[in-house]
Amino acid sequence: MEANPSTHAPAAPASEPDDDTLARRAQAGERAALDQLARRHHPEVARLSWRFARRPADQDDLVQEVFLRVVRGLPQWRADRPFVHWLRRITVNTGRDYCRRESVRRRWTSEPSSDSDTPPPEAVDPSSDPSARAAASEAKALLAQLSPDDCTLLTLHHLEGWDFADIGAHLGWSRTATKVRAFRARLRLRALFQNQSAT
Amino acid sequence: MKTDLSSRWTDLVQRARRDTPGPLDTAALLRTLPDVAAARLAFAFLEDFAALFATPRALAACAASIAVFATAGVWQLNSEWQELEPLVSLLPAMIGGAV
Repeated sequence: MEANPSTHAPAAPASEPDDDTLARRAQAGERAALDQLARRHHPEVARLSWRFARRPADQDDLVQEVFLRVVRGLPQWRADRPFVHWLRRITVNTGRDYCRRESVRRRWTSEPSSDSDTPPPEAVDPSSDPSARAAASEAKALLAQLSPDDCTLLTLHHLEGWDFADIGAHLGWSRTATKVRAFRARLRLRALFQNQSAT
Repeated sequence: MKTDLSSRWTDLVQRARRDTPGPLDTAALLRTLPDVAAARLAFAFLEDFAALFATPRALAACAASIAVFATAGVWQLNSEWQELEPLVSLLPAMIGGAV
């Protein structure tokens, strides 16, 4: 089943100002409004960033980078565009940049594709489900072997459950182009998965 | 074989989707976020980063930008930026040499 990204968007409680109002106040320099936005959206940004991050420390960096980009971009944010869409786009682009950096890192290090520096799940978070953490680690290790764009596309599709229209809208591709890219990326992923399963 | 591979991938993805990030420390995140005005100043300096080492003035501007960033507490959490910290201690000598 494919999910629409908006299903994860946190709604503002009735007693609190909505995102766009807070964003306008933050734009004008009101620190409390910026903090309230960060507090409200931290869980969603963390969850989406975690889909990309291969190591727990990377997730903290990604989340911080997203919010720094928000702070930096706020003067340019236009109120005719919902804040939450803008934030999600920044998060996806930050994830894509991370895929690029990981791709370069892999090329310049002798790191095995199975990611030997990933700690066991219980060492990271005792409450995590070890089976889910192990599966996520395996899936991310495979996705990381694709090109950065393919990695981003299939991470959003497989791990987040986004449909191709939403992915295309966030990455600046048409729906058709996204589907064609996805078809080719899945062929490459299938070959990688097959190789891994055979060994 | 093809179906077997597909079903194993589907199973992997379904389990992977249940994975969630660890506990969040929102207070720590907020401490590392600069104000909009401070960030604008710091990033404006950093946009000149490409000119680093080109001239002594560019080097001085870079030092100033890093100082602004450090003041804003931006790199307390971001490990990549923490890697830049040793550069800060070298800057005075580098500026002195360049001038």
